Amino acid sequence: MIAGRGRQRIRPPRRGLHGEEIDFENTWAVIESAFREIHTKNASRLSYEELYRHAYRVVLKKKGEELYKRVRDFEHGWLSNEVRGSIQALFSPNLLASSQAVGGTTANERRVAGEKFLKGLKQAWGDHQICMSMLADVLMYMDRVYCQDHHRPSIYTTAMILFRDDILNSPTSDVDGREVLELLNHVILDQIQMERDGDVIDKHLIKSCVHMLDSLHQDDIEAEDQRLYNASFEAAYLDTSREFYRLEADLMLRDSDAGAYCRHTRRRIYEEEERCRSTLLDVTQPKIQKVVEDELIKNRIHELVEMESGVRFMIDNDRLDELNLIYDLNSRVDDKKAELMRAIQKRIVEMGTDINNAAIAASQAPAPAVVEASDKGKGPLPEKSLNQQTVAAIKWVEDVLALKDKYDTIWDKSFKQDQPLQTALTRSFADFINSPTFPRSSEYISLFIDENMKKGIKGKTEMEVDAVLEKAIILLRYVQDKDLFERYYKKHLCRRLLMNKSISNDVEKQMISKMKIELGNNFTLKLESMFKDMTISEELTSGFKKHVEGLGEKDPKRIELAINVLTSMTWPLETMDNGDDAEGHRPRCIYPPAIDRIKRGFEKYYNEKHSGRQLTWLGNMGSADIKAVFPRVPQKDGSFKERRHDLNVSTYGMIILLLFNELPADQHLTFEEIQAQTNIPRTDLIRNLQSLAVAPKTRILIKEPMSKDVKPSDRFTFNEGFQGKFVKIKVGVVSSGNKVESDRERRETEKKNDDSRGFCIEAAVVRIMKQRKELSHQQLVIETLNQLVGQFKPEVGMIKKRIESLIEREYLERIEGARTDSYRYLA
Amino acid sequence: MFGLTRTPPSMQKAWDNGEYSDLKVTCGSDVYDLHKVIVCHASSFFKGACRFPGKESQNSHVDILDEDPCMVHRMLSYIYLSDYEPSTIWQMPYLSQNLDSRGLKSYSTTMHCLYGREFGFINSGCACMTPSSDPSIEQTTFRPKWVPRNKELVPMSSDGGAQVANPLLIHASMYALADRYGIPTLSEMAKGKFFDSLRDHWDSEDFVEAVAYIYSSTPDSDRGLRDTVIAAFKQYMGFNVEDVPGIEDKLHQFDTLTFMVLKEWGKRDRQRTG
Ligand SMILES: [Zn+2]
Ligand SMILES: [Zn+2]
Repeated sequence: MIAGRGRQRIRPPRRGLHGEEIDFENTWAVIESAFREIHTKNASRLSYEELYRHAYRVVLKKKGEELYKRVRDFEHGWLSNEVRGSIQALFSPNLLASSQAVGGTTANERRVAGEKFLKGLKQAWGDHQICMSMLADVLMYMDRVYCQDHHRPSIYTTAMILFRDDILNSPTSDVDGREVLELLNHVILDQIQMERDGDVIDKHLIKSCVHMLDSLHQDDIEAEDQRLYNASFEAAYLDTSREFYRLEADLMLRDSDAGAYCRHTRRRIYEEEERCRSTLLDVTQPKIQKVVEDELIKNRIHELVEMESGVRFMIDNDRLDELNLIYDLNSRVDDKKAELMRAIQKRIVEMGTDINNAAIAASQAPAPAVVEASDKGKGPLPEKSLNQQTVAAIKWVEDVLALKDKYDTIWDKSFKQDQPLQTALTRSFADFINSPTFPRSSEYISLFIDENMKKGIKGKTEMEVDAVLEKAIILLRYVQDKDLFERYYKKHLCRRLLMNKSISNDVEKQMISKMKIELGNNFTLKLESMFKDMTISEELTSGFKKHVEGLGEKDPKRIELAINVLTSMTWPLETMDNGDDAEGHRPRCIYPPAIDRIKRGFEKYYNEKHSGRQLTWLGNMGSADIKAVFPRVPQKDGSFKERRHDLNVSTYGMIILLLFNELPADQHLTFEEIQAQTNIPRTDLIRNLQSLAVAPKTRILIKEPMSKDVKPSDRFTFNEGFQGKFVKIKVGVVSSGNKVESDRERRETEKKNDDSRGFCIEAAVVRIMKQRKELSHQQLVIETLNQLVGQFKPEVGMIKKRIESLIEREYLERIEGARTDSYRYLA
Repeated sequence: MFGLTRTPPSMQKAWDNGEYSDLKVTCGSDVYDLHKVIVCHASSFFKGACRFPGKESQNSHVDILDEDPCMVHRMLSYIYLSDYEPSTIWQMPYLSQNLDSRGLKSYSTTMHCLYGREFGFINSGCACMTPSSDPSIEQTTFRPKWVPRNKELVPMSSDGGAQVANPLLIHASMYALADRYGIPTLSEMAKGKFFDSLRDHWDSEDFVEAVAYIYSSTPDSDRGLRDTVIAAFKQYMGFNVEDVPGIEDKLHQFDTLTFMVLKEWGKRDRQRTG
């Protein structure tokens, strides 16, 4: 079976195997001499195949351990005898000098010495790596078999560790006995400090040494974070950098302004990032960045923001770039940007409060002497002078809008449209707009709209008008007490509509639809029905006119009636009251017979159309056009002729004048007689008599004794000698038109508002309880606040009171024995 | 082990002629014009030789001393062609293209049958076939004893192939060579072929030589073929090497006498218990 027909048997080689022992010492001598050649850069004559085979055989013959040890000893000898000497030759006084040493070397001398040292070390390390990779190639089989079987580090790794022990951990000639590694760290740190101070250094050279430190570990466990780079160099680097930047921050806060500080910090962050890329390692980047950010930003941001040239200065001077820098820096150390946010909010509230205070001051300032002037017939009408306060209100709105524009720009250009900051800005605007020390914002915003509706939008393009309306809406968003705004808006709209002051019905409706979008349907429902009433009233007026014509009477003295029928719940008619009968008791005014006739005619006409509705006549509103004939009496200019004037007077004014129609020319009526015959409320009567008998241009009646005030004992006669420059004369009544409320009016408005708030709260509580049946007090309060958030922010005390009241009226009951205060709904 | 290995045409060409060669390998009188990119990727020895700045890389010439040129030929042909002979009968069409006179000198006088059946093959994976270019070779075919009598087996043609006398020793030798030259995939292949050839070749002098060789040609820690051998002792001779402490350490001295004793012992053991 074995031999075949004289053919040669196939036989694998059996040389060099068990039977044949090797002479280790001879083999090692061959290998060692080759290694010596390799270390002296004479490898080219060596046969790799031969060396490999020697090493292979040694390992196969179980002499791996001995070989490994011999190689290590060889390297240790080589490093400590040959290499260490060459490194020690690089130590020079300039190198060993501390950078802090007084009277020591110059930075330049140190840099040159340092570079020489780094170059020598880099060279030794590079040579060692090359030699060892050659040795490792020769000893490949030993690494694969011996080292793996015996869990030894590869010979290459072992030799690298030897470099650390024999070179880096060897002492310098230093008096402090520093090791080479410490010296190396020190030199690198010194070089980096030179670069920070503006010098140019050899980054590649440092990077080579850094790579060396990164490839060596502090101990033989070789944990990832125990690399010499991390454990030795990086730690020192971070420490010295922290100290450096701490001092730098001190200096900069003392010597430069906030903008320069920001720019410098940004540059430092960039520099460090760049340094990690070019000189050190990327792993250090987040760590050094944190050091810079901690020292230059995080620990200083408060001081920085508060500097004289800090955030406040930047805002006031529109330093958008610097604000952007601060924003950027603050974001790096704080997601919330709390310091910046705090400073911004503080400044908004300050500036807003200034605007508020200016408005208060303007409205409380003694009115300029225009009131006096008007009496003398020179100045503007009294109504205008009263608008002084309204002007303050409009200025307030415009100032707030300008402030908002300013911060919008900052937010857009400097804060990268940061969402949390926007929320903060909004909150601060809301804070001063709804400040308890400034309760007028709702009223002012409504007045701003009122002013624009009456005059402001005249001659403006559609787009400009829209912009004005949008501004009002923007402010409205901030207002907390939307119910109060609604109250004022209704009041102002009421006057605009009834007195025909509005320029454009379309614009009014545009505004309503904007508010509808912003505040919801409920808010605009009543406003819209006011417009509806106005439309129906126009139809009624023309319908009634036709109806009267149809009766066939052709009375040339016929009185024409234009009427507004206002749904009582919709219109804030009580706000039109100037009277002292604020309690709601309104005496019925006595109309002259001719007027009373037409009044009854209309009532009849109206009842035919809408039976069951009750009409209440509001004598304090409306106006009348009267043709007045003044007899021939000698005039001041000596003329002697009859004069006709068309007088436009208030309804009360008409009633008063008509009394004098019946009165013989030489007779008079006292104040009390007029009051008795007309039943006009006292305050209204005084105002109207002032207009008819005191105001110089419209003195249709003569008052005795002549004075500014009207007293009950005053007597009035028809002024036959009246002279007017124009045919048409408008007799204005003091105090009409929308203006800022007096404090008394304000208190009333607030009281009314609180009353209706009470009602809203009760309604909300009942709605919630009806649905939930049982609820804790806490929960009920929270849900009530939620329900009302679109209208106003009720005080918790008020909610409590309303709940108590509902319990009294047996809508709710307390749940006995509940752990927390709770209520039950009673059907 | 069953699988066909087809050589990519480019590798075949690179093996067949020396064009683009950048590395000369010599062993004895054999000269190979090879390619660094191929041999260095395959073998860590060649990688080291080409990287190390010594004679070899200076001259782009690796001279392999102290090695059987036939085995070096097999190793290098594996690097290019992904197989070496002997191999299975299925590989014959591919290996025959590369047959030359260097690699093979010894044939068996007999030939165990290679049987197949419709679905699956009984022993057609035995790696003892070599492409034969010598028409004068005569080998007597016999039916292996281990095939049960009642099995109907279809004999397969062995056209274009002859059986070598000592496949186990060749594969064991290949295994050691692959370890020495750092070619892990060749180690795997040699181990597989050794295992596949055991059933038809364990009862032979080839096995005796292979065992002694295995225990002296690789480090003790290399269990690859050692475990295969111990399993074979158990399976074919009913002998559990682990039962006798110290015996494995002596297997490098395994010889025919020991083999025959063990075989008989195993038989009796089986009769007693069976
Ligand atoms: Zn070295
Ligand atoms: Zn076979």
